[in-house]
Formats: sequence, structure tokens, C-alpha cells
Amino acid sequence: MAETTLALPLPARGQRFGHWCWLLLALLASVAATAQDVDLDKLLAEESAKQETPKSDLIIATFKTTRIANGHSVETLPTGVLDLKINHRFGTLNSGAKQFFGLDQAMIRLGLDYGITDRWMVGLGRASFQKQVDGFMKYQLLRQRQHGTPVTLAATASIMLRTDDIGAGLPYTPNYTDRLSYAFQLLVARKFSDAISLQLMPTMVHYNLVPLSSIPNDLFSLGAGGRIKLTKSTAFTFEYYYNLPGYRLPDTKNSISMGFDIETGGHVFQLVFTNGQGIAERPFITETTGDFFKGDIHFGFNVSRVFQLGGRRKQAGSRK
Amino acid sequence: MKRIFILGIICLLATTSEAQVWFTKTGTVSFFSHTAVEDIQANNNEAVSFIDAAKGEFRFQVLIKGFKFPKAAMQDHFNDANYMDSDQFPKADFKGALTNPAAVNFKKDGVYKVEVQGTMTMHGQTKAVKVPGTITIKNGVPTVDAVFNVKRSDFGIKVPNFSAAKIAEEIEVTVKCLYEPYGK
Repeated sequence: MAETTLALPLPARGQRFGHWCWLLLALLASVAATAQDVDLDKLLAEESAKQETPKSDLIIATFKTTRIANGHSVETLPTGVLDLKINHRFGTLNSGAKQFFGLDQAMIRLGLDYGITDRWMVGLGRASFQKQVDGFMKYQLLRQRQHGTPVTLAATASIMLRTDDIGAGLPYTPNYTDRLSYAFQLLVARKFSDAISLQLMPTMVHYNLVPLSSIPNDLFSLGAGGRIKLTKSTAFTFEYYYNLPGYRLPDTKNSISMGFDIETGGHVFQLVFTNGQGIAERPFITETTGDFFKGDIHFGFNVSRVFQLGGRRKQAGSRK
Repeated sequence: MKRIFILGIICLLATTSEAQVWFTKTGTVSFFSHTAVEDIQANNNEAVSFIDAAKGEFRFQVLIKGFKFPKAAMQDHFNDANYMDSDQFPKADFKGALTNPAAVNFKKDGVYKVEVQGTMTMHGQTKAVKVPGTITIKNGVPTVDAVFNVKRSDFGIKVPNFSAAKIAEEIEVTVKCLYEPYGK
């Protein structure tokens, strides 16, 4: 069959021999052809399966930004990114028209956060509520992966310094250390789907000075929060901190917040409705006094603007 | 009979040595978007590519998450559901063959201008494309270079309004791969 299709001149040594020769050649050629029939798609699939390094199955964007609403999310800033945060909390919505539903009593926190590595970030801020200066550090201990690690785990440590007049009720002039408090959080989050991420955050707040000797210096809370994406660039967020009985300040309420994340290029706007006016961990977790369900709701917003300062440009350009 | 045998051996040797597969997993695929507002470039240095020299067939594949940007925010956006949606569509690939396989002699050093025809898949959409390129054989080892344009709209890659002015509709893609023989 093969020899008839080959329209090539046959060797001059006789037809019979020629037929045999070409038959054999055709046979050999077909054997060789099957041997060389490489399935590139299969090779590619094999090779790219090897290539799917741990890095590529990292789950990204569990939350839009480094805060859910009031408190920290498991997200950290990438290396070399500076994040300018401008947060406002107005007065309560139920304060009436005279106070323009709280907008007359704006409290602001200005903050700068920076990503030292992709997993480690630091931040500084100053809030008008209690004239407080705060600093924090956050580190991602585990990162959720498509195959493997089921959650992202981050730890935060923050320090807060009240600079307002706290001496009024004290029999002595408060020391510098009396103004300090600390907060430590473990953040465990899982992105269940593109739309839904949930987070748990056991928290300890330590006061160097508490108002009554019967109150422990270490207060414990358990927080839960999450986000539900509404569209590609907006999401509903919620956060709740339950303060454990016996480890809470008197006459305080659990912190509740609900809000919306709205992302535009380079900015994230967060609209927040919450029952406290404080912004760093201590003032909002352990010192919230508003009753959310009686209308003590503070409207507020967080604006985040990121700038790439360095570290990365070089890396992207110099790698071969 | 002896002659047939020799002829057969030669034939076998010739064909098997021709069944040469070249590959790389450190190919570079970069893209460049130019607009009046901003120029954006990103590199991926982990492109996997195969060449079947006998048939003039090519395969290229990149992981979308492997593109590195000068700004982290750009990279986040790029992978985001609004743009490339890399969780949904983790890979981009090209499968094709030389339009004229006879024009390239992989055994002979030289620079060959070629055209490769095939299909490109990204963002879940596949399109037939024809791409010009250069195959350089140096010391018996091939290098492939190609520069071509890709239209975002061909692959359904829309961008949100707020960034539309910063991202070109036509993206220039540059491919550079240095191959090595593929052995199991």
C-alpha cells in the first residue's frame, strides 16, 4: 500500500527487489514516525503541573484591605507599599438634626502603614478620640493555599498611648506608663469562596492602669467578622467583638460594625456603621459604650490610598 | 540484503534523531501597555514552552499569577476578578505550528524568520492567531523571539471604568525563550 503511494524512482536493480526495499523503508519510516510522534500537550501538562509552585496556589485577597471595618483583617501590605489611612467616625445617628445626625462631632485617625515584607507590616496613627497615638505590627504566620493550608493566620501587637487628660479622677498625677495599653490579636481567616471570607480574632487588651482595682488588667474578647462580596468591587463587611464576662470594663457594650468596601483604582473606601467612636483596638473593642440597637450608631469611613515606595520595582526589573 | 539492512538502519537513525523535542520552563513572557496616562510593564520568567522540531510544533504556557509588576497594587488588580481573574483562569497558553516547517533547519545554525499559526487561550477564551517570530539556532540550540499585539477585547478582558484610561486596548507581548533538549 505504502509503496504505491510513493511516486519515487525505483532502484535500477529490478522491480522485485525495489518493491521489497521500499516496503521495508515505508515500514521503518512508519515505526520511526510513531516513535517521534511526541504529544506536546501531554508534555506541557506534565511540566506545568510540576511548575505549580506553592506560590501560585496562594489564596489572595481574603479581604480588600488590612482592616475589616474597625479592626485588623489578616491582610498585610505587600513589600514596599505605604498606605495612608484616613479614618473618620462621626457622632451618633440618633443625636438629632441639631447635631446633623452626628456629623458635627467628627473624630479622625490619620495613619501610615508600611509593608516591610509581604508578610510583615507596621503602622502608626494618631486619633482625635482620647488624643491617642498608636503603633502596631502585624505578621502573617500562615497563608491559605488552594491545596494545603486551610486558613490564613496572622498575629498583631499594638501599643496605644492616651495623651488626653486622664488625671481627673486620680489621686495622683498619672505617669507616662499609666497612659499606655497594649492589644494582642490572633487573626484566623478563611476565604471560602470569591464572595465569602470569614475571620475569628481572639484578642487580649492589656491596661497598665484600670479604673478600679477589681477590674483585671488583661481583658479578653473574641471577635468574628467577615465580608460578602456584592459586586466585583463592592463588598458588605461585618465585625463583632464579644467581651468575655469578668474580663470587661463596666458599662461597656460589645463592638458591632457593619459596612461596605468600595474599591476604586488605588483607593479603598470603607463605609462603616458602628457603636463606638474609637478607632484603634483598645477604644473600640473594650471601651465601646453605644447601644447599637438603640440607635447609638456612628457613621464613619476609612479611606486608604496606597503608594509603592520601593523594594518591588527593583525586583521586577532586575530578575532575568 | 545487506544494503537494505544498512539503508534501514540509516533511515531509522535519521528519523529518531530528528524527533527532537526542545523545552524550557524559564521562558520570558512580558507585556507592555502604553497609554497617555501610564505605561505598564510586567514580566513572567517562568513560561513553559515546548518545540517539536520534527513537526515544527510549538506550545507556550504561562501562569497569570506569575506576572511580576513594578507596583504591588497593579499586580493585585491584574489578578483580580475585574481584570484577568486568575483564580478562575490561572493560565494562558498558545498552541501552534510553523506555517512553513521546511523553512527552518533546527540542525543548522542561523536566524530564521518564521510565522506560527495556532490558537491562543487566556481569560477562558480561545482565538486563532498568526504570530511572526524569529528562531535563532546557535550551537545547535534554538532561541525563540516574538513580539506581537493582543487585543483585550478578543479575550473578553474588560477593565473597570476608573482604570480604563490607564490600560491600553492593544497590549504588546514579548516572548523570549532559550531552549534545552527535553529528556525524560
